[in-house]
Amino acid sequence: MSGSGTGAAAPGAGAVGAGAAGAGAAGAASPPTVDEIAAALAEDPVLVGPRFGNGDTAAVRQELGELVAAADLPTYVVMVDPPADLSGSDPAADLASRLFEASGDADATYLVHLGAESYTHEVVGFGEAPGRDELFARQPGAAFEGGATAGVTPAGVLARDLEVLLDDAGVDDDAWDAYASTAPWAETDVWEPAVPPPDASDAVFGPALLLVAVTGGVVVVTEAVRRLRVAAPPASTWLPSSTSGRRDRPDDLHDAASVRRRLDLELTAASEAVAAAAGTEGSPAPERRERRDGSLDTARRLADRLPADPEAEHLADLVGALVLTRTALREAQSTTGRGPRRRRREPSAPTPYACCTLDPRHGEATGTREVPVGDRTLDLPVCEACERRPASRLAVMQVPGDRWRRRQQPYLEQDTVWSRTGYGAFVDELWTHVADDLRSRREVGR
Amino acid sequence: MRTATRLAAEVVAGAGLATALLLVLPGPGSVAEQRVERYGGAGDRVTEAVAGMLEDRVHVPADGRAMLPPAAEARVFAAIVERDLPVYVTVWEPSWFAGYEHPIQAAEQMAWALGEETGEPALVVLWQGPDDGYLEATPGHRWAPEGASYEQERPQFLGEAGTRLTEWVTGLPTGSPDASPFAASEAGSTVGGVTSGVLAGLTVTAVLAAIALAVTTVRGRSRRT
Repeated sequence: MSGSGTGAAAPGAGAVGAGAAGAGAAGAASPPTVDEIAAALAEDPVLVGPRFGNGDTAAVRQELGELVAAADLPTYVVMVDPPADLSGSDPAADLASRLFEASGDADATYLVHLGAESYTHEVVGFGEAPGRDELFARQPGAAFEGGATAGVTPAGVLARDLEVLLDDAGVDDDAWDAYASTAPWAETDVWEPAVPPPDASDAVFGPALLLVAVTGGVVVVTEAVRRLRVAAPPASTWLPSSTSGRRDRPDDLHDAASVRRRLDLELTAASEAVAAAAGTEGSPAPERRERRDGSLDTARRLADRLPADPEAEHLADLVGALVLTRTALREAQSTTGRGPRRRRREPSAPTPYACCTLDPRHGEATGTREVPVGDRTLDLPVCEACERRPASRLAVMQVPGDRWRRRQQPYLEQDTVWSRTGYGAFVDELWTHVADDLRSRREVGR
Repeated sequence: MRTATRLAAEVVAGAGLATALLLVLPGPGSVAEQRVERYGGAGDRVTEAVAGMLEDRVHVPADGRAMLPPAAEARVFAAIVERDLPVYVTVWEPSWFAGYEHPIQAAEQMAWALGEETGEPALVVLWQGPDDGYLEATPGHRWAPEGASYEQERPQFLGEAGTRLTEWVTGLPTGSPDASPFAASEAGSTVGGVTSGVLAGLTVTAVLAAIALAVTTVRGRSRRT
C-alpha cells in the first residue's frame, strides 16, 4: 500500500487519477461508496474534486500531492461527500477506518474531509503512521477549537495538518498563519451583494467628492484659523491700547514718542468724557468722582511736565500719565453707564481701571499672577497675555536707569513712584501718590 | 488682502491640493478594471460551467447529473433554443469551498463571463436544488422581458429541475422581435455621478464649517469671559 500510495502521488498523475477513476468519488452527486473511494485512492492518494478545490483544484491537488509525496509512510487526502452508513458521531474517522481495512490494514495516515457544506474533518493514523495525537502534540493550535480554521479552506486545513505531520517540530507561527492569506488555501474574500456594478458615473463620484471636500476643507480650515487668530491674538504680539477694549499692535507704544502720541489722544478723549460726565452725571460716589478728577488732573500735570518730543528716560512717566488718563476715563464712563463691568457681582458699576503691572502698555489687567521681583514673589495684576504666557517669557517693562547708568532695567527694580505703586497695583489711589511725587520733584527741582 | 482675493487664493490652493491628492493617491482603477475585479477572477468550477454553457447552453457536471439527467437536459436545451432566449443554465451540487463565497456570486461571475464572451447580456440560471436556484443577468442589465409576470422574472425554482426549467423557459413571453428582454440595471446610478460627488463634497465641507464655527465661537466666548 505504501508503495502504491506514494508512488501515485506525482502531481500530474494525481490530478489525472482523481479526474478519471476518481471522478465518481470526487464529483458525483450521489455519495460515493467506500469501495469507490478506495479504488480512487489506489490510483491517486489525493482525492479532491472541484467542489473542494477553492476555485483552483489543480493547484490544490498538486500541492497536496507534493506534501503527500514527502511523507515517510503512505498518506491519503480524501475530500468527498460522506458515503452512506458512516458513523453518526465521527463519520470522518469511520471512513478512515474503512479505507484502512480496504487497503489490507497497511500503516497509513488518512486526512479526511466530508461534505462540501460541512467542516467535518479528521486526521487518523494507523500503525506507525502519525495521526491526530501527533498533530496536536506538535501543534496545539491545530485543535479545531479556538479559530484554528479561521480564514482557511478545508483543503488548506488538511495541507497545514499534513505539513505539521511532516516535521517533528511542527510549523512556525508565520507558516501557520500564511495558510489564511495565501492561495490556494485562503478562503474567498467576502462577497458584498449590496455593492452595485461600477459604471462610468462611479468613476467620477470619488474624484468629485475629493475635489470639493478638500477644496472646501482648505477654505474652511484657513478661514477658521484666521478667525481664531483675529479673535485671540498671540499674547506677545497684540496689546490692548485703551479701556474700550480696542486692540492695537505693540508697535504703537514701543517707544516714548509713540506713548506720547497716544497719551495726547487719550488725554483729549478723557478730558471730553470727564467734561461730559460732569455735565450729565447724577450723583456718582464721592470716591469715584475724586478718583476721576484727581487722576485726570494729575495726568495733565504730568503730561505738561514731559516734553512733546520725549526721550527714552521719559517712558515711565509717560506710561504713568497714560494709566492715570485711562483711570479717569473709566471713572467718567462709570458715571455715564459705559465701560466694562464685572458680571454678576457689580452689574451696574464699571470696575476701576487697573493696568497690567508687568507692562502697563499691555492695557488692562484681567487676572493676577505670581511674579518674582527682586528677592520676592509678588501676586500682580496682569493682562490676559501675561497671564497665559510661560514664566520664562514674562518681561517687566524696561526703562533706562539713572543718568549715570543708562542701561535698561525693569521699572520695578528702580526706586520711583512707579515701582513703589506698581502703576496702581500696590496702592488704592494711584493719583495721590503721583501727585505727592510731583510735589516732591518740584521741591527738589527735578 | 481683500476678502474676495483671499478666498480665491484659498480655493485655488485647495483645488491644487485636491488635484495633487488625486494624482498621488492610488485610485480604484478604471471602470473596466473595477468590473473585472468584482466579477472576474472566477474559480475553476465557474470557469468550467461557463465553457459548458457556451457550448450548449446547459451545463451539468457530474455532481449535478442526478438532478438533471441527459434527457431532461436535452428538453431544457430544446426549449431555450426554440424560444431563442439568451438563457444559460447550470445545474450542480452546492459547495462552500469551490472558490466563490455565495452561489449568487458564482451566478454573477457566470453572467459576467458570458456577457464578455458573447458580447450580449446573458441570463444565468444556477440550479443547486429545489428552492436553491438563482437567476442573474449580466451585470449592468436587469432581466425584464416584455409582458413577463413577476414569477417569470423572479422564479422560485421549486420541484424537479428538468420539468421546472423547461416549463419556465417555455412560459416566457416572446415579446416583439426587436425588444431586448433586458433593461438597464438601476444599480450603479444611486450614488455615482459628478452631481452626487459634488453634493457629497459640499456636505463634508458643511460639516467641517459647522465644526469650525463651533470651535471659533467657543474659543471666542471663552476669551471674552
